[in-house]
Amino acid sequence: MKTAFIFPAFVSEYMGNEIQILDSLGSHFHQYLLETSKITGDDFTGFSLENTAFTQDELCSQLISYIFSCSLSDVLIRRGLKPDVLAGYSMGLYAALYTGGVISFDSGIRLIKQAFVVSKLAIQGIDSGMGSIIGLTSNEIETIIATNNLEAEIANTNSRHSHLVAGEMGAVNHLLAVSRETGALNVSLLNVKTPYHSRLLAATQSEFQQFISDEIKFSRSKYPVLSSINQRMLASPEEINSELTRNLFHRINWMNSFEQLLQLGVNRFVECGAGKSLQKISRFGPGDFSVYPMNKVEKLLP
Amino acid sequence: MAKLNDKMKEEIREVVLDFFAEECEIDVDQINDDSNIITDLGGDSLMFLALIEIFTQKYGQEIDLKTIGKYSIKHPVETIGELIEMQLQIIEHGNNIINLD
Repeated sequence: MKTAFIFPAFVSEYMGNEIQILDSLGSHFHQYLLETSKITGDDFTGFSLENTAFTQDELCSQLISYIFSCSLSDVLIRRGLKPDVLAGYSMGLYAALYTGGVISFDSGIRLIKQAFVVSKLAIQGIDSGMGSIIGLTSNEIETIIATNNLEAEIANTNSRHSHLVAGEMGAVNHLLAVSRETGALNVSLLNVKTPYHSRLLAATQSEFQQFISDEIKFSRSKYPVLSSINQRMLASPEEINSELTRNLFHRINWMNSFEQLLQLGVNRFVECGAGKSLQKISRFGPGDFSVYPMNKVEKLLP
Repeated sequence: MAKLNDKMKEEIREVVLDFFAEECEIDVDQINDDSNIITDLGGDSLMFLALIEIFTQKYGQEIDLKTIGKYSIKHPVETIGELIEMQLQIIEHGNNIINLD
């Protein structure tokens, strides 16, 4: 049996009891909140899921998601559940690299902060956003984009009929409306203003790449890390730098990543983070496998 | 297209209820026709897609999802009862569901 640790992006829907679960597992969640407070200068020590204000703060949401992911993967490995391969969904890449020992926890926090800063700079003066389209194929969405000449694009493919799109807000709204008229089962705007995985963030490349080269130290990964851009294993520091940089503005394909993991023989997926978004997406994966969100992992421990 | 008898309709209903009970991690007794899929059960739109795929495979149908999407504009699905009703229509009428109005 092969096990993959898969890491979600910032979480839109929490189960509500993630902190209790991490406490019961013996994680270092609260220490990571303290560490994050020291690095960022903002106080995370009083964090509670009951105060949902953080979900309206994009950077805060990302940092919290990272902390949940690192806390969980840490304690699982410490207690004997080791992954055969790691894969990050969008910004889940940072927690995947931390789990592999490629970067330190602190470096992950700094990367998330810097990515946010350079992204905001890149879209200064641009009203942008992201959306979800369920029920159309990527070809159908691309046809709508081309036919209507929209400044929007597919950011990620979750499954054959589930995609995320990104671009200028007007274009995203128009794309969602036309998609619904065309027969999409559901369309919705995401609670995020930054158009991740789109060319609107291409301007982040050189500054972010330079930051990584100057400020972030890489170590060899203890476990293979899969790229969600091209589904290759990330090996060299150059490949990791490239993946981190391109992860901001390049289209990703989670469906292909998931299928590649299945091809590699993975049949057990541990959703290393809060919520169950990856478990929900995995419903459409081919073959026989199991996905364990945080509230189901205890049974996996030796 | 499949002509559905009462037994088949009941079977379909059970599949839907069991699906949501498992996905939402609740007892099937907690689900009724008036249960709102999102607000009462914590469900999501991907579940609707998953169910369509389950039934199209079960009944060997080739469904163009867009016909269901267009049908749902005039017949929105918010509750379990509405979802079961739509599922029955899909199984009985296939892509002709769009011509039902």
